[in-house]
Amino acid sequence: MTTYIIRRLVMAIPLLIGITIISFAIVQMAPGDPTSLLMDPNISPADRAKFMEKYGLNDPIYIQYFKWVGNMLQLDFGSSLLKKGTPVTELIMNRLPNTLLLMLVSTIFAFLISIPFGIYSATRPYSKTDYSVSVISFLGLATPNFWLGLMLIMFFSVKLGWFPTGGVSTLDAPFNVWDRIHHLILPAFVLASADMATLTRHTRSSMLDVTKQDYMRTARAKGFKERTVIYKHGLRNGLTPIITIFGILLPTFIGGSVIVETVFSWPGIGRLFIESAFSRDYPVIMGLTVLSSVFVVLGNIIADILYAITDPRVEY
Amino acid sequence: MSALLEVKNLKTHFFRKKQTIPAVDGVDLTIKKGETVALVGESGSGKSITSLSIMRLIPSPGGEIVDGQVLYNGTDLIELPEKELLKIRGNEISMIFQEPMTSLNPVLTIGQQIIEVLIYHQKMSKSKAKQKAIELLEMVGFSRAAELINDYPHRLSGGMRQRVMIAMAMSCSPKLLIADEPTTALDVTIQAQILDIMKQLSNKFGTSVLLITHDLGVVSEIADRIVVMYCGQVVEEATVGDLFENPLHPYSEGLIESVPSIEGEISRLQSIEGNVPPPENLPEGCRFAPRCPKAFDRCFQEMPTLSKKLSRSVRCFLYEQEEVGK
Repeated sequence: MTTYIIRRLVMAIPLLIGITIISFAIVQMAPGDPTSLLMDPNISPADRAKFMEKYGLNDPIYIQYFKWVGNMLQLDFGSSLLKKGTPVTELIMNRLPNTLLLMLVSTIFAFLISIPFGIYSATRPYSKTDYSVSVISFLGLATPNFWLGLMLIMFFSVKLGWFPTGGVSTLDAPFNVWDRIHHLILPAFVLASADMATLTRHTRSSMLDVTKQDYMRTARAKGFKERTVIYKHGLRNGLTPIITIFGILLPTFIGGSVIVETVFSWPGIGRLFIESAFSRDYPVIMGLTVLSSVFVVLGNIIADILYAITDPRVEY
Repeated sequence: MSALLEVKNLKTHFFRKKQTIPAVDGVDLTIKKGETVALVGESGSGKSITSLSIMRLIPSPGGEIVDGQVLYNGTDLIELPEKELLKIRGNEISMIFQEPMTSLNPVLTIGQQIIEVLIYHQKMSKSKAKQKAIELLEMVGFSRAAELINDYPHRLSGGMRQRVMIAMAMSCSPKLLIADEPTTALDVTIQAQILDIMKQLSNKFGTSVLLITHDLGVVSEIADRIVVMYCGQVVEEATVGDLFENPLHPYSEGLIESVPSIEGEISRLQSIEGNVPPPENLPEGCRFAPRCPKAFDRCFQEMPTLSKKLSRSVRCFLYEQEEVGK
């Protein structure tokens, strides 16, 4: 098992190298350069050249790349071109916990809600409940996050006043767990909504497939109650594919957080991403791109490991 | 010997859209204590559905037992409340299936799958059940049983898995073992081994066996009596000796003729012309008539009844007339 984990981690290295090259290239290819944004358009060419020299923007592209990667290996992502030159690492670390919290809670939401619904649907296929769950899933899948977020804010925050409209906590209030949870519920639900639908559909089809398997008939022939048959013999087989879905869904959480954090003014890396993209803050954009790629790669490795744990047929 | 299981006029129908498919259409069957009865017939003759009906394992919605009785020691399993049925299923009546490769749960160890039955039905403690599981595996011929219980099914071959299935089915010393084509998916050398184990264990525990098969070679090896099914009905019932020596029903005759024999001169292998008619579109009269070499007018108009003839019964007009003539 340990060798399997090590092997998976080693296999991720070329992937990460590829990711850095691509994210570097994309930013390089984007039109406009930092000087056009940072400096007075009327500045003298001499001053402009000085600026370019200072930030190493005159170096050949591959030198710039190696410098960047070299620094990154020392966890130095450079410093923001704006924000008074704050180091990127510091900017990210300030925001990261908020995003991780949001992602964690919405993952829990998504799994807790969708798996029972999926199982319920699968054990009563083609019934009215099954169709209702399907329709709701498709609605959830088709509803854009930003719209759902705005609607929930309008209804629950503005009209009913049950939840705050945004932010991580009440401003200027001392730390309070309930207050944090109160702020988390709406954004976490919105972030989870689309994935909930995907997960419900996957759980349903996977469990439906499992209920038709021969070993389920064997379990019934042993005289077990239907509940034991489904939960003891079916669920573990049915959930194995769902674990892989987790690996696939992780990027959507990161992508989704960009929108949800903006709608709910949640100070996480998603909003940092948007802010930096609009102001062409290259070091921050690149740092965040690499960070989210690392997340995705890690998510996939975790899914692989979980898969190997739950399914004894996986060779490692 | 008294009857352990009596199936009376069992009818299991499947409903598809507006069609009714009579997969099992009035089957009568008796299994005595300690007896091995073989249920034979071509694919689609309703053998497996009969066995699943006895266990009440017909997939629902879709199929339903519409009529008949399954008397087990005098109690009707069909009328039995679910709770009572669960005490019999897997405990007193157990089952082995055709597909050893897929009949074991891939994510549970062999041990777990045997132990859970013992804990559930026999209320054994975990350590005692484990001990018993090892014994059972040794009984079906595994020498490293103690290690095997921690293995997962995918590490075993088909024959080994079927042996595990037998160990599992025999774990509560059942009164009746239903084996639904237990050797069909295995190669010939393994088939003999599996049949041998089944025979041995059923003798040891005094278990009656209902063996479902289309392989007459298997039948001659272990069965006492044969019930031949065609299109959801029993067409002939006789002891193994009687049936092989003197099959009455033209269908039984056809089945026996289509088995290649090692002795005797090599002749062209006989086959029964035509195919089993689809169950949603059965012919009028005798269901075998369109394929029967001896069919006459009456066969196409009326359905013959299953009539007793000494120690055997047959569903054919040929013999009814014979009796009338006498």
